[in-house]
Amino acid sequence: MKFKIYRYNPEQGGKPGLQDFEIAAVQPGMMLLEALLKCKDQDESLTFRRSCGEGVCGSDAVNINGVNGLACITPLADLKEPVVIRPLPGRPIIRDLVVDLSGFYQQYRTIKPYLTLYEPEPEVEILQSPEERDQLDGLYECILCACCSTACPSFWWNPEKFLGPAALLQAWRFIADSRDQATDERLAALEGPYRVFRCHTIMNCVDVCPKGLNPTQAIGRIKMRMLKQSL
Amino acid sequence: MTRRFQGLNAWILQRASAVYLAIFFVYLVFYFTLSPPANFGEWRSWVADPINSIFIIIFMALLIGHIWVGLRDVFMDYVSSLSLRALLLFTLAIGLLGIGIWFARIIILVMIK
Repeated sequence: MKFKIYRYNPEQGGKPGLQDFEIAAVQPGMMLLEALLKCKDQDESLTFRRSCGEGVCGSDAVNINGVNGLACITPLADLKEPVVIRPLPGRPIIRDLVVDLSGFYQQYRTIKPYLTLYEPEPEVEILQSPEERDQLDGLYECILCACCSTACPSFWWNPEKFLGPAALLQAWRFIADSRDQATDERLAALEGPYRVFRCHTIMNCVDVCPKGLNPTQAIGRIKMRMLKQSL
Repeated sequence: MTRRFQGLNAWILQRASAVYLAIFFVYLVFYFTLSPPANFGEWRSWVADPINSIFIIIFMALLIGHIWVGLRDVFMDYVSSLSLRALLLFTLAIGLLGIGIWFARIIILVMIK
């Protein structure tokens, strides 16, 4: 099976380019990550991130034939040859398939991804009804792999000002949480022309999310909640 | 312009105006295909009818608002140079203002005579 993998090492200079690899022993059910590891056997300077290997940690997000995804849960059988592997788009490249996600994490930090209480903390757990808990489904599963935000044109154009789908999904996760008491502050912090409203419902985020989540819907709900609050 | 106008309010204006524009546009299509004005005088009296002229003025105001929000979005996304963006927004504002005044003048003149 043929691969074209993006190579760039800023420390050694030179131009970025695609390097050809060929893997002979492709077994049924093999995932892309295993193929990348075999490519690394052939050329050990090939660099990429990986950890759990089963779609839980979100380390090995790459651009596969033009579509962002996790290498570890992408079956080779589904891919058209030659498989072109590039780093996640729109982020500074550290080396080969490794990109600098610090801006992405910074946007995640700005939405304060933790429960905020103004009342004194209760002695026991804060209980939720099953319905209240259901509000968090489709939100808490995000693994911050950055597939969605780096597939979003609005995030490409304004990565410092637009929060991006991943951070906004988490923003809604805490707005929707019945236990959180900072809903007004959270909504106020999202006001302005950029932070939420650069989203033009392009829906690349929904298309690429390896966990099947829907950031566009979450962003729509943030807008509707803002609207309700302003009336 | 306040900060609030730039985010939520601009979005509301865009969405609400889109609904009105869509409905009014369909109405105009039906009007011009089913009972088009036979001559200039008939067309003029249709516009001069207070109910029609009010809806036309609202249409034009919302159309200008819709164009402003939409093109501002395009400039914010694609024009990263702040001075160029400011120039484009200024030109757009002057252009839309001119169109608005010109249009209001036409309607007012028709209604007066």
